[in-house]
Amino acid sequence: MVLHKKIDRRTTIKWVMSGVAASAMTACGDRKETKAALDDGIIPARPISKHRASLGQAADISGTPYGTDPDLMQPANTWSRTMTEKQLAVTAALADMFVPEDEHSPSASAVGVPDFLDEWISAPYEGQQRDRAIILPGLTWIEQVSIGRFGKGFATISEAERASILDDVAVYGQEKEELKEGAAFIRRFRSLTMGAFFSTPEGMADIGYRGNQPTAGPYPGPSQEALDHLEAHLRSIGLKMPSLG
Amino acid sequence: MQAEPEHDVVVIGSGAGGGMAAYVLTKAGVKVLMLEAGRNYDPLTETPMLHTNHQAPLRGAGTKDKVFGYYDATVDGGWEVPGEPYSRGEGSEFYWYRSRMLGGRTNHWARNSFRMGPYDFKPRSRDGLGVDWPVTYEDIAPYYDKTEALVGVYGRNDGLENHPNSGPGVLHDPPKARIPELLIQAAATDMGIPCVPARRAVMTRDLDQRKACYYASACGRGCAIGAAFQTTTSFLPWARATGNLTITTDAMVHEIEMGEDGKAKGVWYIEKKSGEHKFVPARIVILAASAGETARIMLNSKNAQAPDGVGNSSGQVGRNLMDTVGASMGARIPAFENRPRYNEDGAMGIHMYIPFWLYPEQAAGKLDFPRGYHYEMGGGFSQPDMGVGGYGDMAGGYGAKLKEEARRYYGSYVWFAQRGEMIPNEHCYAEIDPELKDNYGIPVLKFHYKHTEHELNQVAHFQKTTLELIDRMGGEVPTNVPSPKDAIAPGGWIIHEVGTARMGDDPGSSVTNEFGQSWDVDNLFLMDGAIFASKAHKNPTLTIMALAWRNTDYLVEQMQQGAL
Ligand SMILES: Cc1cc2nc3c(=O)[nH]c(=O)nc-3n(C[C@H](O)[C@H](O)[C@H](O)COP(=O)(O)OP(=O)(O)OC[C@H]3O[C@@H](n4cnc5c(N)ncnc54)[C@H](O)[C@@H]3O)c2cc1C
Ligand code: SF4
Repeated sequence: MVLHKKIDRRTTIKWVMSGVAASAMTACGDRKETKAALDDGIIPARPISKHRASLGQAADISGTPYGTDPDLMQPANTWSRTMTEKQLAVTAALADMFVPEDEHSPSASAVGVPDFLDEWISAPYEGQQRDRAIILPGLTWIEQVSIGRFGKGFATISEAERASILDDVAVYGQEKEELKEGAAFIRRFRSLTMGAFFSTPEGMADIGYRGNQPTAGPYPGPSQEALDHLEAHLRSIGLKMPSLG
Repeated sequence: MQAEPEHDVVVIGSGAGGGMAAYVLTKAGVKVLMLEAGRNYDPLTETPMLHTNHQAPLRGAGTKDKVFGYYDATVDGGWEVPGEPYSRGEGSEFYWYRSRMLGGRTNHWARNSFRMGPYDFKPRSRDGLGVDWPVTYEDIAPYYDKTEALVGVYGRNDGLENHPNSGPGVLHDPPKARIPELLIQAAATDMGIPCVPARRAVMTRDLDQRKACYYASACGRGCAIGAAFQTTTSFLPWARATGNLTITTDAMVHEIEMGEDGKAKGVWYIEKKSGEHKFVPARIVILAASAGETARIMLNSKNAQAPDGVGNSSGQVGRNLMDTVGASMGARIPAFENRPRYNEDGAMGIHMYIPFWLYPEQAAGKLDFPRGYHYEMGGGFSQPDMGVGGYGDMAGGYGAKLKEEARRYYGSYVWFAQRGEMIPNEHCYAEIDPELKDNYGIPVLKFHYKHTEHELNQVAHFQKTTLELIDRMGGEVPTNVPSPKDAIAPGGWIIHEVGTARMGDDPGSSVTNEFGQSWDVDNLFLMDGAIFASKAHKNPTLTIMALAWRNTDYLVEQMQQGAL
């Protein structure tokens, strides 16, 4: 699986509809691909400004996979986090640009997304290691862009300054040529951040997940409001509402 | 040294087939020893019913250790089992899903349970392809009723062609359809395609000690309240309660020991924890280790009288390997953006499905594929996981607007899966790899697999029909539809592998008689999917159980009459 090719709609749909299968899919790569992702020049080897960004060296991956028979009732940590403080700070700042606090829910960093992303890229699985090969250099890349533009690191510039960078790399159709090399990183980082955030209790409440609630008696089925909404759609395309036997 | 417990019958495997056999035997007063390669497993204490993805490593995402996600009730299994490899012939794509736990794959199967119909048992008589079964639907019908009543299956009797009704009072009420299912139903109805309640081995009313579904928690994790059928909450505890069942777990069977008289004398197994080779004698041996493994054990049991493997005088052991034809398609429904929220977990699996509907056209020779398929489909507000990241890929951008996009897209997708009948062909089989052995030193299976025009044309029909359905639904019609060759799931991918020791009327071309009894060795019985003579589009497990019940009734009768 090539991570940096443009994801077509079909791939996206598959991904959206079966997170589990899709994640399983990402677990089947090999180290060669990780290296290829780096060699393919997603991430520039050259510094953009003369001040070279440095977020420090992440720790080596340590620990073990959880294995084929982990305790499902009490999941245990089997690997350590590896990001440096500086990498975490950039991660938090960027994650909050994608998922800021609003009237519905808190920001990504307020619900532990940076720590989770550290867990993710530190996991001793091929798929996660491939993400690691995109995310860690990507953090340095965006740090470099920030230094190049504003003379300061990404975690310390203002929100408006961060937004000006994202406007040039994160919005489809508006990518600036000089930042295009970061697009794959941005896409992957955004995807991981969204998944991480919306699967927290706060994120699930925000998106409107109402399941996981044991219900006695027959399954109640759709609410009246949901049925009305469907009926309006059916009417607009000339279909009949099925009988709800 | 611990003495082996007394028993008459050894059952190998504790999944759908082995579980049923042990249940029926022990109820009839027969002493049974069950040998299971996996570890002991207790759903009452090991099922993370209401745990959220948030509590799991990597938000529960699948990894090579747990391909269907952290919480999935597969122990030491998946497409690869540690220490137990298999190989493939050149150009063959085949995946073999196994689990190594008490209850086997019944702990986490999707529970879709459709009866085969009269046509499905006599396919060759209809179109000249494959072989007929030695039994008719009428032979099996009472066992379908008994099995459904015992297991607990929801569904509705719709009286559709080749989709037989169940007996009165057998089925549990199906759960109500959800919004995406209602939309699909509306479009299908408009196209003259039936869309009816699905049948799943999930109870919607209490039954014995098991509780009705409470419409939360994914069935793939297993079901601690017993609503979703698995042998570990039913057959096995019930059989144990008779006092007639002994279960030995971590026991990897590799050979059937034969006597001079041509009868099975017992089986050899490796005690996985100690590595010790052990022999257990038996009056009767029942193989139910799953279609692939049952064939493997037979092929690995060679002796002077049976140089090609025990029970294999026909040469058909390992042959006729089939899996369900599978393809899938998804679509976004713009009108579903921001649709009203409610609990769509339901009985966590399909509530509705599309049974095969083109029998008249098929009979009139108007289709370019000989056998049918059904749809499993859905969509909805499932528990958010890392897949939500896909909305980010769709929308792009960042900030409060991106959060808004996630809410907009959530629940706006539908998916369709084809489940079709495959016709056995000479290129699909499993044999013993001449070199490769597993960690226990047991020779492994080598799979060969190839689809034909029959399957590819069926996929093309599914694709065409689905595009039309999506269009009628007001969905975004996918434009880059892969060719059937690229769309068809590789062998084994649908996890319905069957046929490796088929039953028949003729000892020359089949491995067992209509009761799963080996033609060659009369005290050897097969009770899993290996004995299927065809692979109807209907998912196999209900039929595995119904046949195992019938086979076991026959076996008990033979024992009582002193024939065995
Ligand atoms: C994710 C998933 C979804 C599925 N969904 C459906 C569905 O909706 N409908 C449907 O009909 N089917 C479904 N299936 C298929 C279904 O699980 C199988 O058809 C069914 O479990 C087969 O029963 P079995 O008894 O033959 O084998 P299994 O259930 O696999 O049990 C075999 C047992 O034998 C043991 N064993 C194997 N080798 C040995 C040995 N050498 N010695 C001792 N013991 C051994 C195994 O460890 C295992 O416990 C699904 C499967 C999966 C994985
Ligand atoms: S959805 Fe129902 S049947 Fe499935 S696991 Fe949950 S309670 Fe059991």
